Amino acid sequence: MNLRLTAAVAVGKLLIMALRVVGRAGTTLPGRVALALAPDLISEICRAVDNRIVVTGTNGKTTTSAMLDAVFRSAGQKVVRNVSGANLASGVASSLIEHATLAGHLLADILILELDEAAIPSLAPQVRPRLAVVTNLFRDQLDRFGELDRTATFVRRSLASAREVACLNADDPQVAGFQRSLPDGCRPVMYGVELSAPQQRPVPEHGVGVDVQYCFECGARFFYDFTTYGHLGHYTCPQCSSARPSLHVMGLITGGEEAVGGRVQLRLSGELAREAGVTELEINLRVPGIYNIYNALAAAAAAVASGVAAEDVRAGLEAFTGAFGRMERVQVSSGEFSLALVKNPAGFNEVLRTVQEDAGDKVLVLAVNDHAADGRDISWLWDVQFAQFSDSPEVSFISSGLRAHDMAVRLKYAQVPRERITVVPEPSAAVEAALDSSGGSAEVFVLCTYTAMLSLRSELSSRGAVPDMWKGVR
Amino acid sequence: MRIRIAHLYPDLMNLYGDRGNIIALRRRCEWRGIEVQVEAIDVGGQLGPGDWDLLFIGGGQDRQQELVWRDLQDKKDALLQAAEDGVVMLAVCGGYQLFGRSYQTSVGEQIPGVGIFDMETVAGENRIIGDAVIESSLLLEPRTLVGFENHAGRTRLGEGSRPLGSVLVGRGNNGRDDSEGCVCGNAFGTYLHGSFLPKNPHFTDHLLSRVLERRGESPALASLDDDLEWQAHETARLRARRVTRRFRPRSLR
Repeated sequence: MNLRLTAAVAVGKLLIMALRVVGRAGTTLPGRVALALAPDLISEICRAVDNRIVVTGTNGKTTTSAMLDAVFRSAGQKVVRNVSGANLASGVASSLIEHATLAGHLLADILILELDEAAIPSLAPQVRPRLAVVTNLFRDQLDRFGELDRTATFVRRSLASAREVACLNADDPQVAGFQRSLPDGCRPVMYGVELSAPQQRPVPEHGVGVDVQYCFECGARFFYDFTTYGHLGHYTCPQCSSARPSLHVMGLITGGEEAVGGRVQLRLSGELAREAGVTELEINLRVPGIYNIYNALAAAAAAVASGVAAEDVRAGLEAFTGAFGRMERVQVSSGEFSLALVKNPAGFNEVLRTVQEDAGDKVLVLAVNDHAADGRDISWLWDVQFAQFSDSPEVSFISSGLRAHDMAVRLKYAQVPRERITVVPEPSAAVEAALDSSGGSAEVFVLCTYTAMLSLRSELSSRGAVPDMWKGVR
Repeated sequence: MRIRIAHLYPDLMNLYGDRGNIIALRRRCEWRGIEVQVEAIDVGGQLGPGDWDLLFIGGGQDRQQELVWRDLQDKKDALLQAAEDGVVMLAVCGGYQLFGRSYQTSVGEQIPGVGIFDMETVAGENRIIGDAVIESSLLLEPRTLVGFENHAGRTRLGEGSRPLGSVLVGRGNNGRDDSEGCVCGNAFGTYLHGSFLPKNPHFTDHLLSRVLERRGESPALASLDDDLEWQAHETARLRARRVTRRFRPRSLR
């Protein structure tokens, strides 16, 4: 027995218990203290489970991890994963300590860790995952990462630690390019979306939340057959031979626009199809939005590549009803609302599109904070599209959070009439005001940046409305 | 009355919501019944002289600025002529750097700039990142300009160059001499984004007044209800003071 490790785990466990007694989540401090006592704690505990999966990328880490969790559970496997958002070293360590025995063993078949893009260079070599998933790379928290290209470099280099499989989003040119730099013995599994003709969408307008449009090989501007969201889609370079690679896991979306929220036909090819024993699988997702289709494809690709049977993949994905704070339905005494996290232009645009699929009267609470975890630079709000609301009398807005006024100015300059913009800086007061003004007839949607969501949740959970953060995710 | 705005490289140079600046210029004209036409000028695009009232360039990533600086050399003469003719210009962050004389990258490569601003920029070791507040050298009321800065470059203004303002919170041009941005005639450069213009309606109107003046019109603009803009300005100012370590050069302490 490694006494140093045991001591660190014991101290961490005690701290978690103590913090929860005083009503805190204990997702960082215990890990930080334990890491100070046993710096190798993460790699030591990880060693106990061979099947280790890491999920990284800008958007969809939490949902993809939660979907994978659901899939492995439906296959009867015991899963351990880190708490939503606790994806830096201290958070990963806290989660591991919570589930480990005092000897530092994890009693699990699978370990799923979502890792922050900036923390992954140091964490990936410690975790040494069997399989790595990269969801996408959008501009996000540039004040922390500097520039998107730097983030891409972090992720690309960290893939050197993937032992067997890298599941890469083929529709994201930058992520797809990582397949060229995988280590020996690590095979790429490329996943992406195919749309049937009627839903093809135009290439995004000039400079609107679009990050990658230029070929990494030759610098020419990519031509898109279609885009699904942001810069994701089917691209080819008009100048050199670069193009979206062929797909091992294809998500074929058939039917009308509303079907984008749900049904997807999975088509597997090559080795994966042989492993899974099927080539086609129809899945009815219970979560809306094209971004959730990507999350489901990522989870399906990782699960199939881990030997999960196709039926269990379907059962797990169809049972999945949403991750922490991702379009969650929340009940409070004065009414009901949907709660979603927004953290960058691409994600915000997609959540707004999902909101607009609901045709009735709506009240949107937009709560924007500028703490480090939200991104201190809020200029990204100007890359979110709001112009579609200038002529929508059925939608009214309450801007909230520490940067409530910036949000309100953004709406004003998108030509949303002033009388449809109210400013209520305190998030829980904003939610109350929204429920009041909706009078039960309008749908209320609450879109929050990370810390705005945490403060709203703690306010709501003190009234018993939502489960505490660490109970809400498992 | 119609104002023509050239937006240089809207795809390549839009790192920090820079398009918000164009939106602000457009709306504040339209709300006053002034027509606005915005044209995108991309790599290889023509920039005819005398065509424009206002010209805007934002910031980009290193890889994109690489494409841009080469193209700017082709447009250099037209841009210098436009500056001489008093075309109003706003250059933010990466665009600001490229409108100077030169930019030296982290590996020592010397990239030539357009030379509208008499200044030189050298890549520093660390990025300067944070909220910033400056006291403007222009006759604005209030004097403060607010924004967010995120740049590796350290910019030194030439002798006789006039900064846009002095740093109250943040680091500015180089983190040493207290200066932020540059003004040369009707050309304005700054590191501040956030977006910059929406939160600084007085400066936006200052640019528009200069456009009108140059066109031989009265520079007076109808007043607008800027209640939300000023609250955002004030919030940014207060958040900056709380979040960003106050910076004062030793000489001023």
